[in-house]
Amino acid sequence: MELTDEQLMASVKKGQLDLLNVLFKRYSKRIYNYFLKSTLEKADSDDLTQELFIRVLKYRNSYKSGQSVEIWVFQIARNMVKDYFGKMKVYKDRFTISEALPDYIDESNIEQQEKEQQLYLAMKELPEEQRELLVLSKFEKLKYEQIATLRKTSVGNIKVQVFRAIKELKTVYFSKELNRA
Amino acid sequence: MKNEITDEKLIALITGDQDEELIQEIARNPNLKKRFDEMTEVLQVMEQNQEAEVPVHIGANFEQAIWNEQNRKSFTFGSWQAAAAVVFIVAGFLLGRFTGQGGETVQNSELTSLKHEIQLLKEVTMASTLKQHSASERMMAVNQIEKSQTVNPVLVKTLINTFNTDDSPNVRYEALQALIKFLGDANVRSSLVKSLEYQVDPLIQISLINVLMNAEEQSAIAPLKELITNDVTTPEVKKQAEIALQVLI
Repeated sequence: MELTDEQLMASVKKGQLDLLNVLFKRYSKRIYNYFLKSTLEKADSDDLTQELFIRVLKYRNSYKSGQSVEIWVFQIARNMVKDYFGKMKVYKDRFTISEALPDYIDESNIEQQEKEQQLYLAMKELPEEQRELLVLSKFEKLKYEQIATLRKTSVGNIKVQVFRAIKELKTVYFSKELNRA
Repeated sequence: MKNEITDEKLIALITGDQDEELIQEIARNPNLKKRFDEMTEVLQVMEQNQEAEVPVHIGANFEQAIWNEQNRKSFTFGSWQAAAAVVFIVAGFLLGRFTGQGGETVQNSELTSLKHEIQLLKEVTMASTLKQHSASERMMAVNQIEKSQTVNPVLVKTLINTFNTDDSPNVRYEALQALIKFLGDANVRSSLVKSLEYQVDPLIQISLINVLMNAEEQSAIAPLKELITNDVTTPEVKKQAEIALQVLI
């Protein structure tokens, strides 16, 4: 019943820019959460999300017909996160872990809230590459095949890397918990 | 178990693999049970993690950016048109002056005429911009109808008229999306079938075919066949019509 993302983009390229609003509805939440979990900075994620859709609008003609819009959008997002961390390396000492914790967690479930905070603390400790893998595979639910396309590597390689990232996350997650206790 | 139990095996078990032998081993081995419980907790926290909502201002800003881009495009185009026209007018004016009247001073009436023509061109450019703006307003009106809780026959008729006659394909697309809500009404369905004859924009045609296919509207079969045999129908639309026919027949 609905147009596919690819049909939408084809029409956008022909000048029907209003259809980008439909694309925004489909992707904004995933992209916003991708930025949130990758950067662990809410204000920056607001700006990055805004900037990403402006780029989609501005560079709409760089989308190639038949290409997966999902991959295209996440590729733009990945590049933006890379640039972001490139710039942040200069300033990273200014930030503390408490500033990095998101403040949007449902307060009705204290236990889940505490665990999620613990999770974010642990994720903050992971290398950017591993954190991104977890965000793409476990939070944004991209298939291994899609992540392999994004990272220009094999599916098998991605599987191994995701397993390693989970293993590393578990180690950090429980070491943090021990420290807190 | 003879082989070493890796975290990969535990993750695979937690995420759905069936491994009876491993389950029994976990039950027997307290250290393994601890590793299993820890891995389960980490995976569960990730699984149950809440997605944050996108701040409203981001969507509003993006809509504004789209609107600006549309108007920038139309203004730029209009400006070029106007500039080109002004060049032609001035060139024509000077040509007339030097070939016809050679050396004669510029008359006030000619200057006034030139200014008037330039002003007219500016107004045409502005009108073009305003026309796009009104399409956005029409889209907003259609969205409002779609959001309304009550089914007003007059509103439905308005939507059908909009879908069949509006100049803007964007407005027609929005009208179609709004009409999906009223597909239970036989009149709406028959109007949409009839509309297959009128719509010429491939995007709208594909959307309409999808709507009728999903509604399993049998009366759409004949007009779909006509679309397929029509020479002016684009290949994409024909392909979609063929898919719909496979579903409907």
